[in-house]
Amino acid sequence: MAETAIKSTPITRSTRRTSPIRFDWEIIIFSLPALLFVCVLFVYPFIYGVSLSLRTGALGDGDFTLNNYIQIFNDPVQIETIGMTFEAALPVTIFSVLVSIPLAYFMRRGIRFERLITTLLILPVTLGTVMVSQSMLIYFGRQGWFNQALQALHLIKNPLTLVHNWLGVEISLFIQGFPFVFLLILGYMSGINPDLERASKMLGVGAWGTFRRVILPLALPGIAIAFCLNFVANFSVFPSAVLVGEPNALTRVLAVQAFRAAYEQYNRPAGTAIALVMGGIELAVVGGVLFLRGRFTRGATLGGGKGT
Amino acid sequence: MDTIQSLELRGMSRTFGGVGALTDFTLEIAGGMFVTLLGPSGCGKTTALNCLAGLLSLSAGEIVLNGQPIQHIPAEKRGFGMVFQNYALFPHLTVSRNVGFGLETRHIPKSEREDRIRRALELVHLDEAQFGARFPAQLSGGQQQRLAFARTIVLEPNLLLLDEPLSNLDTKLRNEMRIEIKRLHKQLGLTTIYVTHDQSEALSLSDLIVVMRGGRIEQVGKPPDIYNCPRSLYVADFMGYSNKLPVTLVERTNNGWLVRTDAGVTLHASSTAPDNANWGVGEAVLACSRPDETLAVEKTSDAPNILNGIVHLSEYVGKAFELVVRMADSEHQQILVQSTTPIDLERPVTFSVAPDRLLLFSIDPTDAKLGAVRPAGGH
Repeated sequence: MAETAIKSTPITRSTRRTSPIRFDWEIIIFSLPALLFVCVLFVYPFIYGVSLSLRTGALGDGDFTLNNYIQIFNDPVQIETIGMTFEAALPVTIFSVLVSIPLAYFMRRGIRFERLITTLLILPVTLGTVMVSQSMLIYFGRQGWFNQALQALHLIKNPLTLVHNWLGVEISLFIQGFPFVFLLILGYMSGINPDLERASKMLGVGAWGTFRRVILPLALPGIAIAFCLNFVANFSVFPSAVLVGEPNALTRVLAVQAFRAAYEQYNRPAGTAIALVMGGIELAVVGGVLFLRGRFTRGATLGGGKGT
Repeated sequence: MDTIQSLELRGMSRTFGGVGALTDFTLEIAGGMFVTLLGPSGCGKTTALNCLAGLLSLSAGEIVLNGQPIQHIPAEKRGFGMVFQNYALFPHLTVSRNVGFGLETRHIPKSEREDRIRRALELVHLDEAQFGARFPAQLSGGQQQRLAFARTIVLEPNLLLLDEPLSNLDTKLRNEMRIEIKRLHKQLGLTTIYVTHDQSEALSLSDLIVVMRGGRIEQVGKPPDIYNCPRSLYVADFMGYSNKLPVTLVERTNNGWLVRTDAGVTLHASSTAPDNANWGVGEAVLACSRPDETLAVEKTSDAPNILNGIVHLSEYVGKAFELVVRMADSEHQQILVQSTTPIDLERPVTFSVAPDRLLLFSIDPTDAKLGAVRPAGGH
């Protein structure tokens, strides 16, 4: 659109360019609905939340103060909660990414039954967390089919504890998050020009060397994005932590604590502060990962020239 | 790595889902030769190159290098180099590291590696001090092309495979790089197989041209042979014999045929097609000529094969004018004629083709494009 504008109206364009601020009313008018939407659904609640977390009183009608935050960072229980949240979110995120990379590599040129596999992967996402958790309780429970089958095969003597603990949360998060991670990374890997692999081969480099030196570095931006999205989702875990976890002990994650503060102790400013601390940590991790991504993939992000 | 004494391709074939993309490709190449596979897209030339490279496995046939069959050896172990049509440069690596890519796995000491990178870049006229630290996306199309060459020749491959390396460049750069390729071939003495659909590239670069059609070899020969003595209408069409006049055979002569056009003009023509031995008097064939050998002459000229027509369009092609001429007695028959002087539109023009430059071919029933000429000219 910009190009046709330059060609058809070169004069108005050049005179416009001289003024420091350019108002393109069409763009402003057309983006108004979206802006309104963002304001109503994100900006206002966010500002409201921030201001709420900075007030005293259970209802948030007191004076402005940093007390809520100071309390969080002075409370060993809450510090421990932050650690627990990392323990819940980080392993399953790393696991999902590490499993996805080789799988995506082998599926990058398409395989048989790809559509079926993709459908099976997407299914748990469409079912929702509660449904998946409920099914897990039945399937992975002490009397569930999984334990019964293992016992029948004499692989184990006593039933394994797979729900109502840390592992239950990890399994649930994996089922929910893995499809996203996998499909994101698959999209990135199948987008790499196959001629690069062929070129690498013709330069005498075998499959492993090509994977390590061509595929992996070029997929790294996608892997980083997949990691960030999945980490954020896992870090703010709530339903799984309650339903298949141990919310009073090892899976007492930040989201659970925020909920309790706001709706069990009826201290909404304190709950909001916990939620914002959670968001801040997520932002810091995402920022860190994207910073590292930038360091490692300087050339690749320059974009393709004619031949690349 | 051994240099090539001989490379024999014996019945090399490749099918995709039962469809033959390459059929019975048989060719013998001596070391140091520059061989071009020429043909339109879909003719199997790139398939042949990929089979040779090892990027595609053979459905049948053998590749014999210096007497040793090598078709089972994977691409990365054949020691062949390949330059891709889109260059396939590694976008995440600098120019220097692109060139060093193949050296790094070969456990060559760092100092020697750096030396070879520098020399390879020098060879393609890229200054390492200036370009070494850049990324491929920061290079122009021609520089990317040079880098693709440097990355391949730094490994001193015993066979260089080039897959339409010039097709992404503009005309000026293409001519420049063509000369560069010729220079590199001469300087390094690398046996080279070059794939292109551009006949002028093929003619100017090659020691041997292999014209391909539908996955098969149509004709093999030195450039002048292919250019002057095409053995089929397909090759003739590819070599620029774009004038196709339907004629009827009248009589076999000492060195060719006497033919008559639909309008009743008698012409002397010759044939380079091997099937002309089976032709009989009265058979309908096509008389083909190149525009640059179909020349406007004086009306009173005593040149052989005089034809008349009306100038329909005129184009200045530099040095001469190319005229689209409507034949005098069959308006639908158009002939391209070259003239050294301009002739006004809708004016009569007399032109002639030397008998040995008017080549006869059987009408090709498999080629719809060529076959369509006949009914149009028949009116």
